[in-house]
Formats: sequence, structure tokens, C-alpha cells
Amino acid sequence: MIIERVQAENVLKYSRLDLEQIPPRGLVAVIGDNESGKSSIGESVCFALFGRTFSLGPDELDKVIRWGESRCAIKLDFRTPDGSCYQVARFLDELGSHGASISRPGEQPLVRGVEAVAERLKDLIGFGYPEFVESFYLAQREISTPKPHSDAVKAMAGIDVLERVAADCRREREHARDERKGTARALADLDAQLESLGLDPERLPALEQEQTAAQTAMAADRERILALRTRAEQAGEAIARVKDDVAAWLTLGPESTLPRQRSASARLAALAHDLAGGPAVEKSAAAVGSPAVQAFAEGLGKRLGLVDDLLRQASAYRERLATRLGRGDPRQPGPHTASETAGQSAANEPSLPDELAALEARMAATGRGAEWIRLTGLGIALLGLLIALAWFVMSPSPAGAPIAAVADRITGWLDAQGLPWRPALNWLPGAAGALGLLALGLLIRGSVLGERLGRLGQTRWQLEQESEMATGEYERLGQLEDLQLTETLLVLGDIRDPSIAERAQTLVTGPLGDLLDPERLRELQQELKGILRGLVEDLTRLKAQTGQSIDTLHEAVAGHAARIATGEARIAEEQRRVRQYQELRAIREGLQTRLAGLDHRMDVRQLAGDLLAGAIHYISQRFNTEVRNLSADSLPQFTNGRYQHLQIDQDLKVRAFSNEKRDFMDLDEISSGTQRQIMLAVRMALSQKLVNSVIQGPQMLFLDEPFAFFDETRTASALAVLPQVSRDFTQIWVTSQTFPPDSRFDLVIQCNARESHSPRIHRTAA
Amino acid sequence: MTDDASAKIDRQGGSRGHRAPGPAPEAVGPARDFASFCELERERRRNADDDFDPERFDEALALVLAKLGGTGA
Repeated sequence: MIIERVQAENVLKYSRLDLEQIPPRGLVAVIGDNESGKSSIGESVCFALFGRTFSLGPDELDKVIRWGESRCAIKLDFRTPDGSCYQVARFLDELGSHGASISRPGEQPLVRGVEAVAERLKDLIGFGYPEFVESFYLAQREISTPKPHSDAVKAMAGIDVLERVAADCRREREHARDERKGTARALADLDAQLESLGLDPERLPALEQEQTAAQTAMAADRERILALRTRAEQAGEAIARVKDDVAAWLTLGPESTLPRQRSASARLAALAHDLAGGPAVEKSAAAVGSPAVQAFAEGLGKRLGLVDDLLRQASAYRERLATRLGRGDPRQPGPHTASETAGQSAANEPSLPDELAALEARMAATGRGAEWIRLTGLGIALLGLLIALAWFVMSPSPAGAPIAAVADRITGWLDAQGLPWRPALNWLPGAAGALGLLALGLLIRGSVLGERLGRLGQTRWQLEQESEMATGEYERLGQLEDLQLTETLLVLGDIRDPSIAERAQTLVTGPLGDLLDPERLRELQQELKGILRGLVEDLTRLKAQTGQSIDTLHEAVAGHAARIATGEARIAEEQRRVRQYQELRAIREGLQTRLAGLDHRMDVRQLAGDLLAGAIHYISQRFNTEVRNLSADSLPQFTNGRYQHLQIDQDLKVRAFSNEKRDFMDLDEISSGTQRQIMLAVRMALSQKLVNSVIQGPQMLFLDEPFAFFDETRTASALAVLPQVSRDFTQIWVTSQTFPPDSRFDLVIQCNARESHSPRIHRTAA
Repeated sequence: MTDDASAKIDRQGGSRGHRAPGPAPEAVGPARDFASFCELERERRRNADDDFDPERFDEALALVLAKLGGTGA
């Protein structure tokens, strides 16, 4: 940082201060007597930059305001190491109002406020107040060894931030340790809770298994109850059904029709079947009654089955009749029995109407032939007779014969006609005879055909009789279903088919006798009533037993329900405990993870702290070495070659190597003037280190009375050396009451103790 | 540097592997000095310490560098 201009009003000694056109390179001398305001210039610069001075603490800042004034203001134009120009402005009043801003020349402020300006300024110039007063600004005071633990030296060495980071790491480690203690306590509490929970992992599965078994048993019992209810209902229904079915049969009599007989018997058969192979309840109920009903129904069924067989045979016979009568399709005969197979050929016979039609046709043809033959025979016979008569007439007859006159007349006519009739007289007798024979034959044939026609007529009568009978049977067989059983058998007994008629007779006298005979039928019904009573008693007893079983099962279901309810409560409680255990375990895992993380955090920060400590030690040693080396450049020049080397230990304790004594000497063994020369060299070295490490550009120095204990020769020598110590210190301010006469400066500021306004400036060498 | 940033480094530290983070190219001042020291310290510890944990070392180094970056050093 290079100062270009200082403008102040009511700051310290000055009511007005304006130092302009300050050269960026060279020595700036500030000369004046005591109390002339030399140090006020340096402190004004310090106040402008940092809002405080070296000699006035922060709590006595109001003393910066010139005595008797209420406010002060100052502006400092400076150039940063990168060549940019800025102006820092600051004002202060007696009430403590303190303002500051930074701006580029002629522009609005970049930042305002004391804190913002301090922060921005450090970015711009690379150092703060502590570094400034320990390096570039040598206030008017006793030059001392640098304080090794001062923030400024640490900042110069670059270890202040390392120490701050190390403190940060320590703080974080301590925080992590505290957090770890809390986490470990929480983990211990959690372990105690888990221990007190005493969760048995096998308990919940066992409870659930017991619950499942109880639910299964209850479901099974409920199913049994439903089954038993069904059984009881079925028993009740069976009782009603048995009564109905048996009653239907008991009302039968010989006069009942066959369908009714069959229906009642079928209900008995179905009842017997259901009792024997139907629902379990009926099977069990029919342990006693079922065989009797079944035997009864089977016997009945067999007997009616015989009737049905006979009816099927009759039906087949009726179909054959239908075919014979031309009422059905002969290609689709009805069911046939074995007995009717022999008559199968009957189905191939022509139907009676066809046969009658054929017969009629045949009779008509025969009649017409016989008539024609008879007529033909009579004609031929007549012709023969005529020929015989002609021959008789025209043959010479004795004269006088009665027919002679007629004969003569005819022959005369024939002759008159010129016909040759005489030769015909020779063959006319033969012709007459032949015609007579022919006529006889025809008449005989006509007689034969007449007899045949008579036979055909007989046959037609027979066919008409057969058709009438067949029609009658056909009609009767078609009404069997509407007939009483007795009538049915009578009809069947009259059928012309002997196998049917004989079979019907056999049934009447045999198997169906007890059904057709009223007395025997009543005995049969009494037998069935007995069976009915036994069966109803069995079913009633079964129904009662079922009700008892249902009651027992209801009690069992109630027991299951109670166990299930208890089990559910126990399972819910156990599940709650399991959830609590799992939640605690999850929390525990989180805490363990947290502990591991904290351990890791502590380890890393411990290691970081170790590394920082090592780095601080390493950098401090290097800093000391660098300061020593930098001092070695200027020390011989400040001491006229009497001291060339310094030894700086960890605590920045300085020892100087005396060329005369050939040994390192402590500072208290050296004269005060030489001490200040050595410390000035150390100060310059520290400043150079700060420039090297942070600023890296041209920098001003403000040395307030640095040669107070120097003799004139040493002062002259030091003034000559100062610009050569470092090429970075291009602008060096030096205050003193007097300088050696031959001293050369680039700017001289002449302060006057009696004036409060801006000092005079001389731009030529004094 | 905030605690959040430190925690982030804690989380990322384990995944860095054995590659030393080293100073960033733009690192200056204390950060550069610290990184230089750590390079030497790494070699020293690697040769002298059987229990040397390069991952933890890198994590500590990264933590400090991050904090130094947060201070502007």
C-alpha cells in the first residue's frame, strides 16, 4: 500500500491537514520539534486506515478529535499493491458516532460502516491493525523485540489462522466428546430398557401359532355346527318327506292308474335310495328303517318294472300296429323286447292300406281282364256261329228245303256282285270250328279269372277285418296310461300277440297279485306303515341327538372364542413389545452409528490438531529462519558491519553474532543504540516477511523517531541504508526532530508546534 | 468454517481413498504452508508409523484445508 494523499480536519493536533502529491517512491521526512505534530501524521494515517491509533485505546478514541472540537474527519488516498487507487474516509464525533467508507476516486463508496470498511480494507491492503503496528508502522516508542505470541507476529508468520483452525478443531472435538458422552449415556439407558423388556423372540410366533390353532378349531366346530344344523333340518325334512312319500303310496288302491302307481312307487324308491345312499343324516337315520323301505321299494319297483317291461313290449307292438296301419314310419320302430324280435319281419310287411290298395288294384285289373275275355269269347263264338250259318245257307241244299229260297237269293246276289264266294265254301266249316274252339278257351279263361277275383275279394275282407282289429288294439294300447292297473292288464291280456297276452295273464296271477287284490294290498300298506313309524322314530331321535351335539359344539365355540380373545390381547401386547423392541433397536443402531461417527470425528480432529501443531511449529521455525535471513541483509548495514547474523529462537528471543567477539550476544549485552539498530533490522525483516507472504507489492513504512538513540553518523548511515533494504519498501516515512545535514529526501514535511493547520511541504531535497 | 461444512467433510472423508488431497492450486499462505508440511509429515508417518491410516490423514488434511479456505487463508 502506498499513501498518495492525507486530508484531515480536527484530527489530533491538526485543525486541518492536507498532505498531497506524496511521492510513491522515496524517503518522506517529517521534521519538527517536540509537540509539532510529527507523530500526529502517523497516527492520523493509522486512524484513517483502522479507526484507532497506536497511542489511544479504543475506549479513548474521542481523544482523536482535536481539543475543543466536536467532530473530526479524515480521508486517505492510497494505492493497493495491484495499482488500484482507493480513498478511505472516516469521521468521528464527540458523541461516539463513528463512520467510515471506502470508495474509488470520484465514485460512490464501495462499502460503508466501520466493520465493513475494516474487512474490505484488509482484503485490499493485506493486513490489519495488529500487523500494521508490528511491522510497517513503527510508532514512537521504545523499539523492543517482537512479541512471539502477539497476533501480529502470528499473522506475519501465517500461524494465526492455523491456531484459529486448531482452536476450532479442539472446540469441535470437545463438542464431539461431550456429545459422545451424552450418546453413550443414552445408549446405556437404551440397553437397560432393552434388558428390562426381556423380549423372547419365540414368544410371539408361539402365541400366533396357538391363536391360529384356536381359530382353526373354532372354524371347524362352527362348520360342524352348520353341518349338524343342516343335519337336523334334513332330519326334519326327511321326516316330512317320509310321511309324504309313504302317504302317497298308502293312498293307492287297485283302481289307481298305472302312472299314479308308478309315481308313488318312484317316490318310495327315491326315498329308499336317499336313505341308503343320500345325505349322511338320512343314512345314519335310516340305520334301522332304510333297509326295510329299500326292500319294500325294490319289491314294488320290480313288480312295476315287470309291468313297464310289458308296457314297453306292448308299446313296440303298438308301433308295429301303427306301421301295419300305415300310421307310422316303418323305418323307426319303437323299443323292442326280446320276444318281439321274432316278429321283426312284420315291420317289413307292407302296411294294410297299401296292401288293400294293391289288392284293390289287382282285383280291378282281374275283373277287367275277366270281363274282356268273356266278351271276346262270346264275340268269337258268335262269329263262328255266323260262319257256320253262312256255310249252311250257301251250301247246296236239297230243293225244297225251307232255306233253299233264301239260299238262292243270297247266292244270286253274291253272284250278281261278281264275288268269288264259291271257293270259300270249302274252308268256312273249318273257320267256324276254329272260332268255336277259341271262344270256348276264352270263356274258360274268363271263368278262371272270375274265381281268382272271388279269392281276392275274400282276401280283401280278411285285410279289412285285420285292419279293424289292429285299429282297435292300437287305440286301446294308446289309452293304457289312463287306465287302472287292472284294466291295463286286462287290455294287455286281450292283445292278439300271445307273448303279451300270456305275460299279462302271468302278471295278474303272479307278481302283481298283491297290488291288484284289495285285501293283499292293505296288508302291504300295513307293512309299509310299520316301516314308516320306525323310520320316523329313528329320524326324531337323530334330530334330538343332533341338537344336543350342536349345544355341545356351541359351548366349545364359546370356549374357543374366549381363548382367541385372550390370545389376541396377548398377541397385541407382545406385538407392542416387539415394536417397542424394534424401535429401541433402531434407535440403538442409530446411536451406535452416531457413536462411531463421533469417535471418527474426534479422531480426525485430534489428528488435524496434531498436524496443525506440527505445522505451526514448522512454520514458526521457518518464519524465524526467514526473519533471521532477512535481518542478515540489513543488519550489517545498520551496524556498520559489526553485527551480521542473528539467532532467533522459538520465542523470538534475538541474539546477535558479534564479528568482534566472534560469538552470539544477548541484546542486554549490547549498547542501547546497537539494540535499536538490531531491532530496526528485525522490524524491517518482519515487514519484509509480511510483504513476501501477504502483500507482494510496493509498501509504505512509517518509522516514527527510529533514530532516537542513534548518533548522527549512525543516523546518516541508516538513512542511506533504508531505501536499499528492500525494493518492496518504496515509500518510507521517517520522523525526527533533526536529520544530518546531508540527508536527502524526496519529500519533507515541516511541522510547526505553534501551528495547527497543515504543515509545510518541501518537495526538493533538504 | 461452519459445523455443517465440518460435518460434510466428516461424511466425505471416508470415501477419499489413499490419494492425498494436497493444497489446491490456488492455495496460498498458511494453507499452502500447511499442505507442504503435511506432505512431509505424511511421508514421515508412513515410514515411521505402522498404524498409519492414510484415509484418516487425508480426511484431517481436507478438514483443515477446508477450514483454512473458510477463513480466506
